Amino acid sequence: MSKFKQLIFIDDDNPTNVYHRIIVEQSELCEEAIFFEGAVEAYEYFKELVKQDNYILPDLIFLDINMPVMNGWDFIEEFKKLNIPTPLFIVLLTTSLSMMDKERADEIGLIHKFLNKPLEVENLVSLQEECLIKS
Amino acid sequence: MGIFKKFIKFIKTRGVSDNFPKENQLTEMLNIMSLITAAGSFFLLLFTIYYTTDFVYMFLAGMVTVLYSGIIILHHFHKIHEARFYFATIHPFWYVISMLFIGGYFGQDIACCATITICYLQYYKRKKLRNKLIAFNIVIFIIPTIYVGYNDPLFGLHEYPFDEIIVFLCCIGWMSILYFSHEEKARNYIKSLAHKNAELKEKTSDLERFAYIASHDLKSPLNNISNFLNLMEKDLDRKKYNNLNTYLKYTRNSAVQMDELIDGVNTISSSDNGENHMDWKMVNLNETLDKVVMNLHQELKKKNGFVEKKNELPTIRCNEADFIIVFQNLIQNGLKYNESNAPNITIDNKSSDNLINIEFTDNGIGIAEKHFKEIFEYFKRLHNQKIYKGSGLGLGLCKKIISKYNGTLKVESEIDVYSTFIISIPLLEEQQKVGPDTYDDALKLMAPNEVF
Repeated sequence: MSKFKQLIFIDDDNPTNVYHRIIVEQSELCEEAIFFEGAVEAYEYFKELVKQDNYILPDLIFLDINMPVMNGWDFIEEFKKLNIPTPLFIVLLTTSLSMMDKERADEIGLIHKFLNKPLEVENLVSLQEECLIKS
Repeated sequence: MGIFKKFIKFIKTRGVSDNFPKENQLTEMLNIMSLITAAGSFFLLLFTIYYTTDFVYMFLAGMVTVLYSGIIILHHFHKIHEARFYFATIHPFWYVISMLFIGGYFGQDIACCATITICYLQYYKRKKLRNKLIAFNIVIFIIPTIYVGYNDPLFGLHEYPFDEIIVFLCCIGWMSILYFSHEEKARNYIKSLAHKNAELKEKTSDLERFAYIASHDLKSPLNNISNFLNLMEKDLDRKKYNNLNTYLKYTRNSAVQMDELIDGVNTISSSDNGENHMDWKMVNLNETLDKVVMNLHQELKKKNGFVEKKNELPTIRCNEADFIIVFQNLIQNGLKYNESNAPNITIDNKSSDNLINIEFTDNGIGIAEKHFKEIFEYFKRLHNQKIYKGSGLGLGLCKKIISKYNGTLKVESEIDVYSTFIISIPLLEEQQKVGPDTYDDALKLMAPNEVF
């Protein structure tokens, strides 16, 4: 089973990021994981990234919905404007699934899945299988 | 025409007082009805004097004039309850006497019927008394009617065609006044009901939103606690001990975060009580500010901050605890969202006679204009927990408290320069009074439009 080359996590809650970092390490399914504590930082990162000639995109972006300043939906809107050619999939993480959120997610093509927090090793395993199928 | 209107208004307002606001509408109605009846019977009296020598009739018509004028006079001397009682007893009694004197062609039946209808209104609260009066009216009408059916009235049968018409018209006048005042009352009821309904809808949807956000904000730290405990369990199984302290730290932090959130939610929901204006006292806001500054002494010292008062604050009628919360929140925010070496909060009193206007200005990080409305929403935060900790409840709470006093909380700001929070509360006349509260003051504040 091949590993994920790079995973990016965007969540304003520090303990959640710490936990996910540990989960990623324990899963041994990922070579590099980057954690952002805010959507603005993440967006700036991608903006700078696409200016370079050869850039590596993450295999998946794990995105929290409820964040102050710029929430998950705002991030996706801004991210879409960057027009990154390679299809990139986003997994939305939330503490509570609501029907409205699901419908909104379905409208946006980029979103691969909706998951409840926290991410567990099993989630990473099944996501990896799904990603292999997709590519 | 103006004099006529003034006269009507004068009569209408006899007995109307601020002491019994609920009674005023009925008193006004009875005044007008009495005026109509007294005028009608006075007209009959004049007519009788001019065209006949029927002294019995003149006496009867004159007495009706006197009796109904008497109601207005009793009202004038504030004998409201006596006036109403006589209206329901003596006046119909006189009609009935007139039946015995000159027969039943005076329109007494219509008049007694109308009086009974008014009785329902006068004593709608005291059913037993009302029923007794109605029974009284029915009995005193029936008995003489039967008598006169078989015997001649005492002074013979007098009949004039026009007097029934006058009585008829007066009764129509009574019933019309009754109907229109009821229509107005019904409209007021419906308006106030619609208003209350809208308020309730808003409160319910607020509550739902609040519950959703609160449960969400509580779930997050709860999840963290559960996650880190899982990790601890796994590590303990593998006899790996070096991370345990870190896991415990995060667990504890999340517990504290939940605790603070629950405290905040509690404060907000408990600030809803105290709609009771009778708890309010005259409070010197300067003393309130001193208390708050003392409470925040440690925080101010730690950040080298100071609170400056430009001029004296007013004294207002309120619940002091409310303003302690507001002042404390505003000053704490000014201190917290501040990167200066010498954070300061300046308080400026710009109040006038009928408006309380107090401004809290800090030299903090400022707020972007697009966020001016958001910051007052519950749980709305503009920053990461890492940079500035907080639950996002402070400003929402302040705004809620101030709106209890019919006031507003607004903000003006420039990024990296300053923020000014402006408290505006309009002053009612009642606020200006110094001295003990009276029950009627509280009534006035609580029940502006009441029914009789």
